[in-house]
Amino acid sequence: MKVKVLRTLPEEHYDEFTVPFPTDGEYTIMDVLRYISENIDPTLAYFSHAVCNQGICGRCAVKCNGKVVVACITHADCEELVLEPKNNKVVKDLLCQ
Amino acid sequence: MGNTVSRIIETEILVVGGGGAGISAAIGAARSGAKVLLVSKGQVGNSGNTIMIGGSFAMDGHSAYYDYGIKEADKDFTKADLYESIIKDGFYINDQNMVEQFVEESPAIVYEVVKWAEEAGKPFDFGLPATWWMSGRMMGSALKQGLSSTPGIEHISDVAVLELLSDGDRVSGVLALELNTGNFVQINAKAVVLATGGFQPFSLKSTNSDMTGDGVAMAFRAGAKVADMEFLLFLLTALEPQDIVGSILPLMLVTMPTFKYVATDRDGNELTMPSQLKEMETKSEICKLLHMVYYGKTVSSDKKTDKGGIFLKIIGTEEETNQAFDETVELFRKFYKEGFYHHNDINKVRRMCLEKGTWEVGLGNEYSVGGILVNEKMETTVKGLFAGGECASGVFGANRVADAVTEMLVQGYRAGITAAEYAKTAPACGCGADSGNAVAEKLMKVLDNEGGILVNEAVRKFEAISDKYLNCYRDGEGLRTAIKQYEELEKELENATVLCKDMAYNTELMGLIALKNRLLCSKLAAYMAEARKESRGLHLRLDYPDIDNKNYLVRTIAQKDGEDIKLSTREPIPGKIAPPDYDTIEYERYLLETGIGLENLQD
Ligand SMILES: Cc1cc2nc3c(=O)[nH]c(=O)nc-3n(C[C@H](O)[C@H](O)[C@H](O)COP(=O)(O)OP(=O)(O)OC[C@H]3O[C@@H](n4cnc5c(N)ncnc54)[C@H](O)[C@@H]3O)c2cc1C
Ligand code: FES
Repeated sequence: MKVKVLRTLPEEHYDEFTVPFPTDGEYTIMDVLRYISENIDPTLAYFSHAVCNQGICGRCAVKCNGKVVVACITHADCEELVLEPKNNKVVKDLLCQ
Repeated sequence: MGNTVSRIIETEILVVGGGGAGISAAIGAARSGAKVLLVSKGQVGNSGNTIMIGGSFAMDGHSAYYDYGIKEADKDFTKADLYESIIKDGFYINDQNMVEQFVEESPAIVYEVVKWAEEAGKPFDFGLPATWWMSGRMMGSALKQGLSSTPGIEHISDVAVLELLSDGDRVSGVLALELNTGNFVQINAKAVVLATGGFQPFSLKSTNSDMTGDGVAMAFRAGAKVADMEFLLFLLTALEPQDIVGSILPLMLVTMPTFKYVATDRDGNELTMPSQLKEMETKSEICKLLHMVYYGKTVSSDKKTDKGGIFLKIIGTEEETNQAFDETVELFRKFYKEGFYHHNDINKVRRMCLEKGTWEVGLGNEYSVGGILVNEKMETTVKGLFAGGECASGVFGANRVADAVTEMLVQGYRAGITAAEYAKTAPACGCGADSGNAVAEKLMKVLDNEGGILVNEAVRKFEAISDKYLNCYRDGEGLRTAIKQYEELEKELENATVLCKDMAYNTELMGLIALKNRLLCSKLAAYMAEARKESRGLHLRLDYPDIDNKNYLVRTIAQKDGEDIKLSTREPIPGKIAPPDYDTIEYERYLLETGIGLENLQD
């Protein structure tokens, strides 16, 4: 799948990544973010310091294709994802206050 | 932003960690009249393993019935029964002063938390003997209710404490990093309470990602003794479907009497356990240990499945299996959206099991029994430093069956009270800005590294070592290899390269700090596991399969000695239960004949 992510440094722009996950609804958006961070671009900022990964804390929310979703319980099930911060209180990339 | 301390905060008591132990400690200290600051890497009341809770916590039934008027409680289950169970389930190396503290002091704080849950409008669900079922989220709201109704506590979230600061021979402050801004903050305090939870060395995770052993590692670096870190508790954890990997739902299912299964290896060979023990699976959380003992060897061998686990082969009729899933749905209906466990779709798993006839599951590390050495007042071996909850050690010996949730509450609360008592006569903190600056500057040097190992790559390397050598079953050669490889990786990390140079929410830098702590804790665990040449509780050695009371009825302790690790042992602190009078016993015989297995799953 193609994943476009809004980045904030040095200034706002989109980066595009190719992630080798099938779109059959098994991988989550959190899996996608982790894949990018671990294998393509470790500088990506997304919620990563107290991750429950089970939809408990609600802190991993991002905007996916225009809709705010909880990343660790939402399936990445389409060919193209556009990921943006959930609100306008952006700290860096996808991480908001 | 800057590479030195941006501000200094003064407080009387600093509590580090926003899970159950930290919040209880803050409340205990504030009620004792101290000014308290609670600082947490994750969000206070919404982080740590506290929010991962998937079951229950308890007090003894006798206290519930007589002291708290709970008429449904089993009054025949007494403090003495609980005490004895904890020792037997701990394979007799518990410090009995710690067990006494747990048993005697827990009813009051457990009851209070049950009341906070009611006040928060999210009451827990009662079960026998005197157990309350809830979700981690519900526990979080109960704790936040207690916190907000206690005056005298300030709290800040998303601030990671990096190092303890010492003033002579006592701890009297910390250096911390505000994650969102990247600013360093020094916090001066008369006393510091660590409540940072456990450490998790492996790639399969059922735990919150903040379980990186920060508190244990910091305490060790500050000269405190740590103990029992070879004892790591694993439990059945989902490896499929992909979207629930890491969930402990498989454990929940196998404790249902109607869920009939046999475990098999990758080739379909059955993994059996004696029927007397198999019967305990639905009665006692000792089942976690039994799964380690009887399924763990496969997970540690090339007989493991492709995903690194075993298969649960369903052998019940379709009706029985459906009933097991129905009962699971029913059990959790009160806490989660109907049909879900946390956000795991139980019915999707049901369909998968019925269709495939198997469920691929692993053994995931849930809990660290060992940690900072404390006494029954939660004093560490360093002045000014206190610890409670999962980051501390001592009460559960070599294996935990009783509740870690009760442990976090009862120890946290006591740690707060003791710290406040200490602070009454302790001199003001004498740490100048220099001490914080020195630590911050050292850390910032990492940003200058070039061409070294990347943090993600180092994490993968680290977890591969742990998965291979520190898993359920270990042997001497493997452990020595683990130590060597951990130490090589530690060296490699000196030149670890962080590509992102901007300090605000720097995921790589945060990852590197966490990895160094995980690595230190795991190295200590490997040293202790290598030194314990027997099997006991959660420490299973292929090369030493028996329990050896003659040589190892002791706690293993580690302390920093310059750049080295000094290992020692000491006998557990005695109490009401006499130590066993036999030298060596086969592990399985101990399981069959000692009457282990606190019955905490009856309902
Ligand atoms: C999936 C799962 C299910 C469980 N279910 C149960 C159950 O049903 N019953 C039971 O009794 N036990 C259960 N446990 C165990 C139990 O939840 C934990 O042992 C307990 O919650 C630990 O509490 P704690 O406060 O000591 O640590 P935690 O709750 O882990 O809290 C640690 C806190 O410290 C913070 N922290 C960490 N490092 C730093 C740092 N450097 N600076 C500042 N803050 C820091 C974290 O962000 C967090 O807020 C379960 C565990 C898991 C993983
Ligand atoms: S990480 Fe907690 S809800 Fe996603």
